[in-house]
Amino acid sequence: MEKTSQVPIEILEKQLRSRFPDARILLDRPKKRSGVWYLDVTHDGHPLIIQWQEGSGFGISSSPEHAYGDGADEVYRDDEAIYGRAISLLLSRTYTAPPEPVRLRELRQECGMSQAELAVILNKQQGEISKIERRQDVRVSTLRDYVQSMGGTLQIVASMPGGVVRRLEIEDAKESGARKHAATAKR
Amino acid sequence: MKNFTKAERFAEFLLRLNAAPPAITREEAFEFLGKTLIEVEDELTDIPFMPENWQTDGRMYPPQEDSARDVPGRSDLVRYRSRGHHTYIRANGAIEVRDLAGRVIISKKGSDGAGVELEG
Repeated sequence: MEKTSQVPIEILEKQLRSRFPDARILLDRPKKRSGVWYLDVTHDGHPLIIQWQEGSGFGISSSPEHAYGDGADEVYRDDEAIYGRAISLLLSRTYTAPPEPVRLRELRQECGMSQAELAVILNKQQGEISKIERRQDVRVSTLRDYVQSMGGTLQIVASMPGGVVRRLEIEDAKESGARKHAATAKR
Repeated sequence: MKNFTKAERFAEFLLRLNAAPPAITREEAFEFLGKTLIEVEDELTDIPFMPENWQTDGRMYPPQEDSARDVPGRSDLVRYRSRGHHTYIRANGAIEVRDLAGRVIISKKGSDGAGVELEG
């Protein structure tokens, strides 16, 4: 019989059982292997819920209460990062919190980057980064570059009357310019 | 700006769920549960519907088929797992939502008048 390889949350389960032998750990397997897996951990009365699905990574939440249909408080792609976060939450007995809106400066600081480092990546002066972070009206392209320089992706959503929600695609000025240039060169 | 709290939206969801006639099949109950929650959230929040995002955005999302589990010894029942709840849907259209501690949050009978009828 062919032995199926373990999925990452099964490996995480083993790691947590080894690290916290007294913890109550329950792996909730989905009907289909491609579904959403859950790992319920209770250590010294402190609860932790970890979810995993191929392609989506890990979600982690630690809270005394959960509203119906809530997503995970925090999301991690990396196996080591989720293990580290789980240990930290269990040992410190702290709760996770839903993500709050964040200012550009705070987002940069969360990523552990200085204005000077960001300025190098974006080929700008440090003062320009400072201005972007204090500006009330920022160009979409500037915002996109800023977020991408930290490894993120900018998404803009339009919420329309009647509950219609559309993700906006903004024309990339650089690509648009390149296309125009190529069209001119062909003539 | 819609300023309804999550508790108020959940209460509205319960109201609509209980007011509706019982579903006849599991598929119908699953679809009705999802449709009702999406409608309530569309009407009472400004948070866009983006179920592909795993991280919570303050919106309540209905169970998806990829969160389904078999219930041992109950071929008539499917359990849908979410972060803090189990949603059970029976072949007769009955719906029951329990928190992880097993407390019943929602209970709606099926078309034959019977509930989910879980033991314990």
